[in-house]
Amino acid sequence: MINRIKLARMELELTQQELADTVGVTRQTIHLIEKGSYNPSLNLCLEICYALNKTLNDLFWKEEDQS
Amino acid sequence: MKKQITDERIIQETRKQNNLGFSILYFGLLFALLYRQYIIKSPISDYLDLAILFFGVTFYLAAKRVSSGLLTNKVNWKKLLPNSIVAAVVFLIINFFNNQYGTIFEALVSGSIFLLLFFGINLIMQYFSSRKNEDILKE
Repeated sequence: MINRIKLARMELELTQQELADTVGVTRQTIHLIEKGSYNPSLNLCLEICYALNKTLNDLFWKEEDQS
Repeated sequence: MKKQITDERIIQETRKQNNLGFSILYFGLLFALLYRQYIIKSPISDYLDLAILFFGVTFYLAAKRVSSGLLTNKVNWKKLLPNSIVAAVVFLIINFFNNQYGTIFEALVSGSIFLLLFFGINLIMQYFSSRKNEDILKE
């Protein structure tokens, strides 16, 4: 799964730690999600969307959907 | 600040490690039993505690798989029959090398009983598992 979390986070000038604190996970988890090494559950995806004022479509998609 | 939720990645990673640890322990216990039974030929009283533990865990896992419907979605006796035959052949070979049979007739009877029991028990397990899956759809 690909995501735009890092861009969205930087738009709001949030650090990884701040975003992690907001959604209730560790900084390492946010880092791994941004890197694409960890796929968050739907629950966590939604928490991240609420924290960054974005929708699921804005932040997450799968490679096949791009074509 | 939002309500703290437990980090799902840590929970998931911990579960994966626990699962792997359990698998290592489970198969290690199996090999230890096989070693005691067939290599050093210890009397069963020497390792009865390990055997009870191993079979207890095995029965628990089988019962949970069946009762939760995870074993199978539908009964498939066509796939079960060759599996049962292979299991019976392995059973006969192991017992043959342990000099369990006086005559071929004894071996055939023993193998047939094993085949029927193996097939029957697996069939019953598949039936209850598929029934559980049907019940889930009715909820």
